[in-house]
Amino acid sequence: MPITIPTATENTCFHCGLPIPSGQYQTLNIFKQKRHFCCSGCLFAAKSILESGLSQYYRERTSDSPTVSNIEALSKAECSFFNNDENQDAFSHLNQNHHRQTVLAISGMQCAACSWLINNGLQKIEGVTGIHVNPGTQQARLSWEPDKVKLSHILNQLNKLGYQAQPIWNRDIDDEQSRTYKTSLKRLGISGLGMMQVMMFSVALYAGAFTGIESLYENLLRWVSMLVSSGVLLYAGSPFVISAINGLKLRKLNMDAPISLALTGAYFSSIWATLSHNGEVYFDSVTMFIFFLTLGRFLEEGGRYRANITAQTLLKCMPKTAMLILEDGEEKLISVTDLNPGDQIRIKPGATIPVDATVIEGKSSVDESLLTGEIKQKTKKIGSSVSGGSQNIESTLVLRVTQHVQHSLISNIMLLMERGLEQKPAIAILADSVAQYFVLALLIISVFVFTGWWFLDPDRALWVTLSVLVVTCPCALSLATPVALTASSNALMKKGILLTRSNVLEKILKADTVIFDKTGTLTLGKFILTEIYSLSDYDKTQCLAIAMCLEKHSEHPIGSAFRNCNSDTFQFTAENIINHPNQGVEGRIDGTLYRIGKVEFANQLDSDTPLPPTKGESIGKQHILLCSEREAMAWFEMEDPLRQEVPSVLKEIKSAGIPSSVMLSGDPSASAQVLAAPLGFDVIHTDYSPKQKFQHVNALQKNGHRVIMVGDGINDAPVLAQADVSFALSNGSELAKTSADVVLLNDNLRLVLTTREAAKKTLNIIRQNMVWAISYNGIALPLAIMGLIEPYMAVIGMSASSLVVVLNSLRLHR
Amino acid sequence: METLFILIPLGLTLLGLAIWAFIWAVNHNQFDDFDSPAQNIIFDDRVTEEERRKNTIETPQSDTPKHD
Repeated sequence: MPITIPTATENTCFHCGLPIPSGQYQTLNIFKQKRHFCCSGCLFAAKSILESGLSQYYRERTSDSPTVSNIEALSKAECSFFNNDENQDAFSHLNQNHHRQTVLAISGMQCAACSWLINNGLQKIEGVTGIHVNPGTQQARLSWEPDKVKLSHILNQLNKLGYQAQPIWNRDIDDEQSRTYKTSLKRLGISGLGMMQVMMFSVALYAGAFTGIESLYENLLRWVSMLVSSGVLLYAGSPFVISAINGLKLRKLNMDAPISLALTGAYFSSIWATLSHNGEVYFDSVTMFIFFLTLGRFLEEGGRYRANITAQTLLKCMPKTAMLILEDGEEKLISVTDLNPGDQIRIKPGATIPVDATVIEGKSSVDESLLTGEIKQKTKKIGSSVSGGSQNIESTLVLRVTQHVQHSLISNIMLLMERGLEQKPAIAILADSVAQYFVLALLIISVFVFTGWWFLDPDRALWVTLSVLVVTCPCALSLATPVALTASSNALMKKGILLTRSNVLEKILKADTVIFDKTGTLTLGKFILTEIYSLSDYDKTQCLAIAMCLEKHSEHPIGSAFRNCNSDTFQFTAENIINHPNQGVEGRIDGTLYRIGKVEFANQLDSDTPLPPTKGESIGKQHILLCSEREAMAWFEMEDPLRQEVPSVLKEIKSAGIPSSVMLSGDPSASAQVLAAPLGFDVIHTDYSPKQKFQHVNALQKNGHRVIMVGDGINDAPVLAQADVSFALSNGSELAKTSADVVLLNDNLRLVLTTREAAKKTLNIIRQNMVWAISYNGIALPLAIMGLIEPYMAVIGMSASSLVVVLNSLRLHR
Repeated sequence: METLFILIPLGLTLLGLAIWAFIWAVNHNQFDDFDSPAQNIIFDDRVTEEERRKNTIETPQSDTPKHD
């Protein structure tokens, strides 16, 4: 197979695949060709990858790498925090060889090539004794010798390769889930092995029944079958019996009730047959039944486990450390859980505030959208209170902690989330109650059959009843839906679609409205500098260099557009830099005062109000102005570009039969309207608060519409939880991802349609399964009641009917 | 047919071994990640293959003296 080198055009970044603003690229030779990079972060990561001899990564990766926005090494305080023995005990443990072991949460892993890169990149470090990366969970197990290498060095190395990593605190590692996953895997394996063994014995028994067998050997085979199937029933079958008993205690008949009745009935009658040398044994059917049931349940649990662990790893990337100011003015990085009310902490711009606190020094704007849903940033000054979970935007703040982290608002978010999720229409509940009647009817029929046959032919009463229970055993019925759903969710997972709830596929076909968020969903969610219009004698590169120098210190999204640019010709250093929240930045370069930002802000230095450039299209573009004390210098044109696939996806939505598509944007600027108009939306609303979005969806639902919501931001979380089916993008906020039904792992909006198509196929398969299971039961039940079906035939029929269902469902994998 | 009295216990022992091996594998995280170990082998292989090719191209150039 020829190795193909990914082609990168001049306009997209070789590393992360983002479009590069005209002319603002940096180059590096990889595979004997000049490659372009969008920012110094990506360039630096690529350099480190080449230097480590791991360029193979670029050939093997199946998707673009994450954009490297932060290549700064860990600060001194962070290094000493991670290398301190006491702190390390909180997130790692020493093994018998005196190596430390920890689990790292790594963000940005997208394919198997990423895990290869990380494995090889870290193995080269002396002192790293073991690294195992699992891209499925975004985690890595790391062990290292603390004498030979420092943890901070390892984390920095990962940083250089373009991945952000953080150790997971011991108490946050959720062993519970991985334990249940492992237990059900063991149950599956053991019941499978046991089933095969018992099946072998029963082949001998069946053959013996036809050709004659000495009763000594028949007994031997029955006894060993009993031995093996007892083990299987006890270990792998007990959960069903226990769940049935628990159900009965709550006065509910669940699907497990007839299952356990048939299981225990067939098992004990076989034991009786073995002991009394009279009647048939059904150990093979007991084990086979257990195996198929365990398989179905395992597939179901496995999907949920993988979805959960990914979401949790992402949540764990929340701030874990805070910069504590000691009484003597020294600063020390400590764990967030060690913060007590009264402590003073310093929060850098761009950082998330870990706990509820009051401002005692500094002034900044704070993004509280996580908690309030308001997108507008709030200005906080001395005396204002800030909530944990909000983000500091403009400049450094000193805070006094008012609440311990457990009592902070942020800890309540998960509770809110759960409440939102409970509001969902639960189709599963309906299915369960139907099943309950089915089970009840079945049990009543069995009682009648037993009494009927007791009067007709008492010898056969037990066996006929058993075959009724076994033959109608709702195995095929109860497997029909979950096996098909899990098969298709596994197939979708391979395409980069992560289903977090299995009833999505049922609901997505009923949807008649698709709602998109704008920023970050339809667009890339970040500003890119597209054009510079010089207003004075300065040339463009000089203006850009000045702007870069000023914006270097801003955490505003606009500032980050400049950070990805590059200017070699001019190097400036700015002094007296002041961030004006929501306005812009001012600073002094070579004695001249400069301002960059909004027109009203920047042109205070120069009273002339220059007009924004109107050259070409200005749809969806933002302009900011650079002024010196003497004159207006240049306009910078920024754009948050649309995702490439958006126009065609919207057309396909129409042709796929979803009548209405809607854009709800929180963006107040007119550009949102202009951007969306040509795309063919039926309804466009801009300047919508998260609450308005929520109400909009709610109103649609009250009018009988079924809504698909696609979003990415923290502010979309409530509306995502409310929508009938919700999609979140994988580069979106963690909260959005946890409240969404589906996470699109490679951020391609076309996958929404892929999911819908898969749902169509899946529902077809489910329908086939149902028709099969019902017609099978409809034919087999009367025959069994009439006593025409021997129990062994019932078992073969039952197993075959389940097999048909499973095999039919597995077609979805293709 | 008496051989069954040996073969069946033998079969059960093998079953026990198989179950033990399976449980060992589950406990040692062998079922956690099905994709990357399989691909890592191929990646590593391509790396060494590439290095070998580089060596075979470079050595004759440096070793054989030019005649004209």
